[in-house]
Amino acid sequence: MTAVKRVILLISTLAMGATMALAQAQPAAPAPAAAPAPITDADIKGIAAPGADARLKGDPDGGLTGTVGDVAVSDSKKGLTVADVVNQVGQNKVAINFTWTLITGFLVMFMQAGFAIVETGLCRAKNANHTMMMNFMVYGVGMLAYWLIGFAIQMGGVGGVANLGGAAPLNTEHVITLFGKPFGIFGQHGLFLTQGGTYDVGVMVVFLFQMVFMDTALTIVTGSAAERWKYAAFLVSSFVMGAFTYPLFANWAWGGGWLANLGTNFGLGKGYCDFAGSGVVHAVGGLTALALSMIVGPRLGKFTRDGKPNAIIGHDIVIVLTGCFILAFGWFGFNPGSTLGASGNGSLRIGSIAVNTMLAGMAGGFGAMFYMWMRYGKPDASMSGNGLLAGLVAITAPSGFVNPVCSVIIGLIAGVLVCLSVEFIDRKMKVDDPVGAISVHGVNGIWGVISVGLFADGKSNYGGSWNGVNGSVTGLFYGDAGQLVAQLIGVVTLIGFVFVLSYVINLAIDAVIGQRVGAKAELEGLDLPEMGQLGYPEFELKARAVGAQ
Amino acid sequence: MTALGLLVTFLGFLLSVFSLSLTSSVNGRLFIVLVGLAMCLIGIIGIINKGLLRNAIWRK
Repeated sequence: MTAVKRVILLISTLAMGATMALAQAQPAAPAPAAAPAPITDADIKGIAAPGADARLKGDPDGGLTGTVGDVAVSDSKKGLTVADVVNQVGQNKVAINFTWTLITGFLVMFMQAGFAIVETGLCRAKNANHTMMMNFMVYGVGMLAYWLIGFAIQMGGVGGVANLGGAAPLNTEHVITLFGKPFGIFGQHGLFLTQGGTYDVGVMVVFLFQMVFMDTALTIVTGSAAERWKYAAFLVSSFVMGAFTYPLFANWAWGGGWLANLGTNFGLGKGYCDFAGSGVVHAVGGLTALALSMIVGPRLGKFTRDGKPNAIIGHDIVIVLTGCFILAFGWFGFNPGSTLGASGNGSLRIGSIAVNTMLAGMAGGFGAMFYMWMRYGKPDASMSGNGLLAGLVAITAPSGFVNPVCSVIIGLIAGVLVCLSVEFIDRKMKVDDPVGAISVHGVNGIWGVISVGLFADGKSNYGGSWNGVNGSVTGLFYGDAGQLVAQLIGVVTLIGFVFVLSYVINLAIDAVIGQRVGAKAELEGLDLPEMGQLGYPEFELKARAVGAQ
Repeated sequence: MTALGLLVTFLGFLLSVFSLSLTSSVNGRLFIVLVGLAMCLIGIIGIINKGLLRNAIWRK
């Protein structure tokens, strides 16, 4: 064999081998798939429902309940159609979300009971009836104001709530132009829950959920002004707050207003983000509480003539801590419920939100307890309770955007912060806050808003965007400094606008009807002079008997 | 004092809002907003509260 032949043979062999190798490497081209046959009405007509005889025998294992026979048929002559099935799927999604939102709203409503007994327990027995009545009636006063005016201002221009079937009538926001950009100021649909087409099933669910949030903000104030607030002034002040102050800021943050649009209009992250209301609910309540406490002044005997604070101990630590537990339970409605649904648009994150909530509460309780233990030698019960609440308040805004480790950090800081804040407000500012509401809700509400701008991890996904900006909410520690700026603008709005508005409103009420009870009534206790009935009549009988001895 | 404190606090808010048009830099906006925040705190703690403490009920 000549050399040329050998070379040709070698090349041929190599070429054959390479061809075989390539042939093995490349997968065989798939045969063209047949187009899926569309499902027709005829296909689903053949699906048999359990017979009537079978159903008459009962269904102990649930196998016969919830079948094709339960799908609503729009035209009985046509029978079940594909359109019927698809419509049922859509309605099931909205029904799941309605149910979730309503039940979590009911939980938040029950928090009123928690607030009532926490505040009453931290006050003296001679003011028990008065404090309970403020907490009881703030529910009705706030609801009335919100139904008449507040809801329309807050949500009248939100522009639809996808998880709840649209709520399309809430579509009219009053907008001004500033710096060449639209600034949403207040909503215009929803007065009396009828105006503007708002007699709508979805709107009703939105109203219930938002109403109980608003009432939470109002009831914060009753704690800080307790034991010296005139009942009539409380009614007027709470009505105005439920009608105007709260809804205005809530519109800016949640109702399509200008704070929410800081991302779309000015490129600041995803705009102001407050998942469940550290700012909208708690800071608004806490800052209004600060304004009111400054206006009504401290209780008689709270400070000595040289300004040294006296501790005025509450009368029942048992109901205080029981109330804290009720509030912690209600918070499972507050934060997870703020997805406004359990199906679609990232709502499955409800589990993560619930766990973040409980972890932060736990960390807050520990933070406060250990701080007090180290500083004063005992694990103070009321401050431990306030620490739990501070952790819950702080996690409220970031609960939907952070991971469990960050939740614990946020809660732990909140627990210590509430103790430092109580000391500062008591000793430096000399503002009397019998229940610590300013520190728990105001200071930690602000901390919660800031913590979104620091700890949001960019892993949440609520339908691919937030406040109209694509992507997930991401804080400074995960790469977006703009989000922190948006949050800080929200904080300055709370302090510089909401506080000022609350202060001016309550000064006006003070000028017209007076905010504070007389000294005689205060010393006697507000139960008889203001309410006409003692909270604990037997206590007084016992005290007299002891006195007689 | 109260009126002055409320004014300073409100001006802190306005300054923060105006940061949106004064600069497009994130750091610049952050600085202005922090100045606005400081003004708010001075207004409440340094002016309103200080004024109230002068006439506090426990001094009488």
